[in-house]
Amino acid sequence: MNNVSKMTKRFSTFTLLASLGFAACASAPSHELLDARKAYARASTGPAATAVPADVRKARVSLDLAENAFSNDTSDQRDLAYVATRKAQLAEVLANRAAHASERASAEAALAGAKDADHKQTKEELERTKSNLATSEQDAAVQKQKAADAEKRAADADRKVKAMQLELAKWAAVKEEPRGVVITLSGSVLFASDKSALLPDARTRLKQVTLALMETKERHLDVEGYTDSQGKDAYNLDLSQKRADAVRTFLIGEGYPPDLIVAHGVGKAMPIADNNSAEGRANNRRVEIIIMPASTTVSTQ
Amino acid sequence: MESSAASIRGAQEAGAEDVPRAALYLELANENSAKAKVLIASGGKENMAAAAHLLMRASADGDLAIALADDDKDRQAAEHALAEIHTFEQQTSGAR
Repeated sequence: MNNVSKMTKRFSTFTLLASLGFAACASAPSHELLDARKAYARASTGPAATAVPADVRKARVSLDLAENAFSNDTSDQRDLAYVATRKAQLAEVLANRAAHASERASAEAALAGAKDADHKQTKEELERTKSNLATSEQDAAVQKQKAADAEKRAADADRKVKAMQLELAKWAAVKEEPRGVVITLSGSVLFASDKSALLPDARTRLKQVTLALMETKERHLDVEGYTDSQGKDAYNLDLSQKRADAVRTFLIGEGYPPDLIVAHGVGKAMPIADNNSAEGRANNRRVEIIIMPASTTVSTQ
Repeated sequence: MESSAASIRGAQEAGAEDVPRAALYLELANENSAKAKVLIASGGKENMAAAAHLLMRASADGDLAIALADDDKDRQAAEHALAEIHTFEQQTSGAR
């Protein structure tokens, strides 16, 4: 039992004795004393009892003085009761202050905690953003380097093709068409009449062609054989296929990747000169090596 | 006399005049103090005794006025702290 509770019990006993004393007392308690008793009863049984017990005790002492003054019928009994009321009220106000201080402390602690948590979360988000940014920058740098490398490779390839064209132009017709760079070799230079075996001189020239082609050996090649219009179509088609195959086989033998070369016999189709003249027919008997544009793929046969 | 004057001055300094409940008790303290001064000025043993009782009342009124004024500040501070955390929570929940 705490001091306030003890005092409350004492007060109840005192009140009882005081009530019994009324019989002997000439006058009734003043309204000041009645107010003081009520005020103390409220303070000693409310939050003040636990929040500010020392102040409740002071109110008790003050009330005791007023009760004694009433018992002794002294002239200051009303004033002491008045003061006792104020002391009890003061204890209640001080209890309120303690409650407000506690509320404030709790709110400030909660705010500090919330700010700490928010700061921590913001910091984590910032770190994640920085990390993501760094990754993005790295990715961008890698992509940029890849693009630069690809651009350089394309430029190198173009430069090699140009160099090869210059070299080949010395003894073969070289021209750029939508289907690619076309190297036209005269059939009379490569093959004997009606044969598909390469002539010895043709091998020498084809070696030079191959050396030039090796500069661009990542490109796909299409070897196409053509004849003039004389003779049967089926025969010409077969002969042109065999001649194209002969050139393809030679290029592979010289080191060009076989999976990048295809050979077609076209026969008399697509003449480039008049078949009615001997010169025109000579021009139509030919083998074309088409260097396909970069990134073009063809199916090998 | 000195005790009641100090209480009244303390209540005024605490801003009791601006807090309705505190202002009431400050007014009572001033009235009791003024009555006491009249009795003291009149002289005589009985008047002096009555003045002492009035000053005792004035002092108690002044002390209560001080506490009420301070309590009002504490209440406002607590409300401000609660409002701050409410505002902070609204801001952070809106920003995320």
